[in-house]
Amino acid sequence: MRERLRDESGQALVAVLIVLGVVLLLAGGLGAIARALSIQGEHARAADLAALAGARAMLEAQPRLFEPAVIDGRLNPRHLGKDEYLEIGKRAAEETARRNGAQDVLVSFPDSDELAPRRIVVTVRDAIKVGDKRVPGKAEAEAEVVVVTAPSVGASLAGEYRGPLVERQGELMRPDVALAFDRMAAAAAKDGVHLLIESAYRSDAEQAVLFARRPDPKWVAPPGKSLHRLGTELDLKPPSAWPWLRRNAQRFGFVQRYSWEPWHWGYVRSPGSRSVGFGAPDGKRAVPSFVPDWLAPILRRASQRWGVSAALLAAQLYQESTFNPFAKSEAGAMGIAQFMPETARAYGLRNPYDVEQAVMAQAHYMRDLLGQFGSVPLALAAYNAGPGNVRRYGGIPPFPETQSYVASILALLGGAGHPVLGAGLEVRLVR
Amino acid sequence: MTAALKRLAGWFIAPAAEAERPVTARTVVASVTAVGVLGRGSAATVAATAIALTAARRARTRCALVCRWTGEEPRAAADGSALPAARALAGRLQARGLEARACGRLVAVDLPAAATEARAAIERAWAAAGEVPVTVLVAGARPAELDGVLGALDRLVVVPPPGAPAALEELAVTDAARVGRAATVLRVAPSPVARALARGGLIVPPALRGPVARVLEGRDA
Repeated sequence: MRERLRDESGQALVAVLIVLGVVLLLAGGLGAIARALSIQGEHARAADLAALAGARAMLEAQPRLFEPAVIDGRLNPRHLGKDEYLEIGKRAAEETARRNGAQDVLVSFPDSDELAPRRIVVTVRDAIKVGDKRVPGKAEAEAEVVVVTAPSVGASLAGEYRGPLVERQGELMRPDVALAFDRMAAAAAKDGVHLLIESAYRSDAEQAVLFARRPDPKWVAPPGKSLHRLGTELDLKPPSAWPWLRRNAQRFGFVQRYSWEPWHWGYVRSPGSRSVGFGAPDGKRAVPSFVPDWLAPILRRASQRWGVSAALLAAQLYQESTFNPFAKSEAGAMGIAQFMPETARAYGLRNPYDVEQAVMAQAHYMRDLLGQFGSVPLALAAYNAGPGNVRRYGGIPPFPETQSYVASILALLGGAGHPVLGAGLEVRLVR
Repeated sequence: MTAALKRLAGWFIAPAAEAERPVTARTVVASVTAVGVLGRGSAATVAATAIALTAARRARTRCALVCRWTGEEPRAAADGSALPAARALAGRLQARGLEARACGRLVAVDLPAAATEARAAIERAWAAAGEVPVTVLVAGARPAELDGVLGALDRLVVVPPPGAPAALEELAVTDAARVGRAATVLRVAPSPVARALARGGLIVPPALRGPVARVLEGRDA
């Protein structure tokens, strides 16, 4: 009996040992899988952060793509070729990936054929150790620069306006803003409302003085953060005029900038840090430097006739046809402004290959789109994809061509010193 | 003019063409889409939820993102009942290895305890969330590593504990200003109902609607 018990307990011990061994093996296997998953997570993190860093570097460098290569016969050190631009993005991504522990990193640019590429893909291919074995790993992230039509209040703003200023009610503003204000004030007066300007243009230096007097960002915007530096902003009173403004200001190109500042109205029809069409008679001073001389006076006339920024029209023409009056797309768009036949007919454009006619029709169409959508990116998207699509999606349609079209024009304007207010470029992780 | 006269006139006079209505889906008015909330306890949690839901409504997005840093390692938690948009966003963030879960219209991301890791997680979640408004709740002593990301937000809101002295509020606001953003104060004493609504992640507690609107506009409440 005792022997049998000893034998049975011996058999049980073997069974227990076997079970323990299996449990240990399973635990070891699970531990190895968990470690592998954790390493894969670290690779995914490195890929994400690297893609973000690369896209941010591209966003920062993008305006330099559009700076003139030569200024006054000398090479412009700020100008970047596309290869240099992509190299900046690649270097930033690779450095960030390495700092986050990744070694084998591949960086690619899916839209490198575009005028201003804005997508970057980072693949971390470091092997993952599972137990004694090394299995190939792959973590991929894609980031891109996207257009944001309602920029956050924390977004960085365009540069200070440095063009001509005119005076209204003792306050300075851009000449085109003054003309728009005159029209709006006349319409308001007809309705028995008298608009008074409390404040308009304030230079960075003036803002610095105000901020020094009350250095609290809650009450006074720090220098470089106030929209008043753009020459497009008006603080209007009396409060009894605000309801009229809310009903009518958009017709004249003004929008209320912040819901909590009923007095603050910004002019959005003619973006850019320079006044358009009010420079020298040759039009050169009113347009960016990348515009050919023969086109500058035409742009100036179209800009003055329809109240749309010459810089915006120029950037659009560059993106549409690179200023080629005889361009024709596969879809049937014609001429320097790439009008489709039905749109050309609607705007009375008989010959889309006639530069003067085409630019006038383009400015007229953009004036209408800006009035309808109240936003430069949306107007551009409507020009490219049709107003119906912008209405359907309630924003820039998610068509890669349209997204790229709008982003390139905004970047082109930014690079030429005409950043667009009311639009921002941000970096997003898309995959 | 009577209805009969109007009908009679309608035979002879063509009705005026209906004016095309401007599209207002997106305006050029700048919006508050990224908010930092500094405070501990249920008051801060309820405030962050209310702010996130209000920001989502104003930005016309179907969900909002709340990143929570408590200084402790996150514990795994299951999704609550949530709207499809929130579930989809939570799924996208989970696929990136973030501790995300959806509840109502909110997606909550519990951040790692290490401040540098937390900062990386905020940047990744924010960049992956698209146009969804982001609220960052810092429920603990604020580490300097988070200052950079807090400075990039549109607004900072200090939520003092209920009944805190004014001097403490002032100290918190002054300290928050170090990150370069104006801070406002939101005083919340959440009722059990408000806490329950916050947990649901669908509705802003009615008592908080006015105060949250004020802090999003840069005023104390």
